[in-house]
Amino acid sequence: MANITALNKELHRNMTISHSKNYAHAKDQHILPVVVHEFASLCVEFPIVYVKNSDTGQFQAVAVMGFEPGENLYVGENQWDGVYVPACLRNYPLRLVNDKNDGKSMMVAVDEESPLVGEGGDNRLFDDEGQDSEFLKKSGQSMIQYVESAEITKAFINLLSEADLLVQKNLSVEINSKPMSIGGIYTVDESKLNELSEEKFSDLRKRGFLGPLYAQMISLNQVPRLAQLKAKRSN
Amino acid sequence: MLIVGGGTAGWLTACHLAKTLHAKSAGGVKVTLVESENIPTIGVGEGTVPAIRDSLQALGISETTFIRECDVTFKQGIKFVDWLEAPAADHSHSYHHIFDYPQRDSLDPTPYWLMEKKAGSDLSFVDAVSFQGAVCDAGLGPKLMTHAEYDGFAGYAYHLDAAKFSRLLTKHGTESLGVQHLKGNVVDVILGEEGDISGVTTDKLGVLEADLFIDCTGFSSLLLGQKLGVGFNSKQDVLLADTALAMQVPYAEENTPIPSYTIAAAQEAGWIWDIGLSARRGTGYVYSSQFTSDERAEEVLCAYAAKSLGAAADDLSCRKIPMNVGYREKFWHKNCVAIGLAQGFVEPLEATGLLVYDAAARLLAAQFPSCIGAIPEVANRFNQRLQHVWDGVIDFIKLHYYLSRREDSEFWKANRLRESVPESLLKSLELWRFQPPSEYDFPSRLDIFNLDNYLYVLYGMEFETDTHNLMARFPERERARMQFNKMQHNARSALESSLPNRELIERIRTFGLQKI
Repeated sequence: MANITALNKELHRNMTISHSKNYAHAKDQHILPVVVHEFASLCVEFPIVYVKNSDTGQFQAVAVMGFEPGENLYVGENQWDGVYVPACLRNYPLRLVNDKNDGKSMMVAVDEESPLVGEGGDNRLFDDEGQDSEFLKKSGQSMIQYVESAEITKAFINLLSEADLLVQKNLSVEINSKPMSIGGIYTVDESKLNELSEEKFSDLRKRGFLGPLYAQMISLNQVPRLAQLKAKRSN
Repeated sequence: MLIVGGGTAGWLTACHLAKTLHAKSAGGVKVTLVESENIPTIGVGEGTVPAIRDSLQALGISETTFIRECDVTFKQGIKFVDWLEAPAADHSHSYHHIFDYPQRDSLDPTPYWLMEKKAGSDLSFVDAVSFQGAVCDAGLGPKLMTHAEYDGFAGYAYHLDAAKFSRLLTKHGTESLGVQHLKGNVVDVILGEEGDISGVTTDKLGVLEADLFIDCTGFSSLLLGQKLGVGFNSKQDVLLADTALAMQVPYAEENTPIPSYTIAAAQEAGWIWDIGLSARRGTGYVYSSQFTSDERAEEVLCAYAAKSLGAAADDLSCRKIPMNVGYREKFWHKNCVAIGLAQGFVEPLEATGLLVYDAAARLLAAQFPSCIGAIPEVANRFNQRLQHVWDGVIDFIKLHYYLSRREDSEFWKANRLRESVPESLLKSLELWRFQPPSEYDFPSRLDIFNLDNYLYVLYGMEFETDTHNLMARFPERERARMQFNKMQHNARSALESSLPNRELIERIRTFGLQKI
């Protein structure tokens, strides 16, 4: 169980975060949220698709890690079996949360239940005087950057949706002669993209969205790779 | 073409015509609507049926916009309370008329349900054939946030604020569909040499001419009734209620749950509608002035509001609306078509107001005459078709009263007098005493109320069909029982995943729904 607590320089004065190749926290996640800035790196390894958030109905971009909830084919014995590590995993066990007091500004929080958290480990969060450590500063910047990327990703997806480019699709594969499919996913439709007006297409280009748009479409070719991993694992 | 009169009927018609006839393009039929700035619209029609979804979608209106702008909530049917028997201190009878139709692909559940009931089962008809009654009882909505616009896991329609809906249609009609909008009062109607309408005189805009006139002037029926003298077939002898008292009721608290169905609660001389919108409730007492006084009616309505609001109900004010129950002898005469209250009206028991306007507007748009020569036969068919619709609606409304066993007032007894019941309804009921209704009893594909609507009302009101002679024809009782059990199982899983009606609406208002 995760136990997310906002950082406090008194409470967490001596807390340290270990360097680790331990990805146990991603072991049960069959989809991971991703941002447009990493689509190019992701698309040669993972299928990227759009799914609807069940609470809000809003589209979000995710990389597919498994065929069913609870299955991540890229995490073996707690280690990451892929080449590229999605940005959302990198700052764990730190993360940004909304400030409860004003609901708007963000603050850094930590999952206190994580095995990476301890005392006397690699990276202290605060120095003896209670000032933010270099590690914390760097992590903070990286997380802020991630939030900004997520905002841009949201704008990107809204644009796709408003331009009516998305279609629902089932990804079907055969694994050890057993048919499997992932439903409830959406992707950019090539024929719809080809029918897009010059004006709207050039708008996408000007905003720098063509790269991620095509990267996502190409990434669907990674579905057989995922199926292969699944087949290996079930053998 | 000139539509006279705004309101929901006028604007729905304008939108359907403009869309179907491509009013916006150069070669399209020009659609103009003239409405008065000072005649109030009646606007009680706050309930709809699922056909409205097709209409909104066809008109190109976003469901999210519609929900946000018209105080919309979801409606999955109507709950009829106290229609069968007068309520006792410890007992109140109710049943749901839901929108989802029973599945009968592999096995028709009706005869089996009747046999189970005879054998002592207390499973209601609605719960045997659908999970939607359970969804309604739990106060849940018909869709998830992940469903696209106009899609859901159960059939649904809406409760809406009629005045706001008119405004949305006005905006959509003028901005997106090319309806020309004029404001002025019609003071006279001018007849041409052959008795056709050649124009209408207005106070500010002079004379407006057109080839075809649509009369959406409400009960006054300025063009078709008053000028062309088309008579009115009163149906007051069948449907006794002739007055409505409408009252807007606030929610007791900001987060009071909103039922995802209309409540129709029978009273001593009629019934009360209770419709939960996002911002308030709309209620009203439909009654017969023959059997009760206006003062007593107000007491009854206030007592109903007080059940949920307590003393705060005393400050609410009501608005009295006289109802002209029946329909015009013709709906299309010469070059004039009436739609809306100008065409006809029955009490809003099954949300038939908007439903019939919408059906008539769609019919007109689909069969719109391509030239003057086509008018007589198109008009002829329009009249036949709509008369059939109205007669069907009246039969169905009457059914609710006729099946009642209430003895607590003269109103209910008078409703069961044989001479007040249409012959067509009596004949059907006589047959259905011996065998359940079948789809062949409803041969017209365009009928508004069909087999399933009748089943929900008949068996919700404990109508008795003798299955004794049918047993041999339906030998799969075990399979039927399994199907009923499966339905209950489906109900449980629907309950787990869905949101309460109010919360669903709030989320849609915040996040919007996707188009796909």
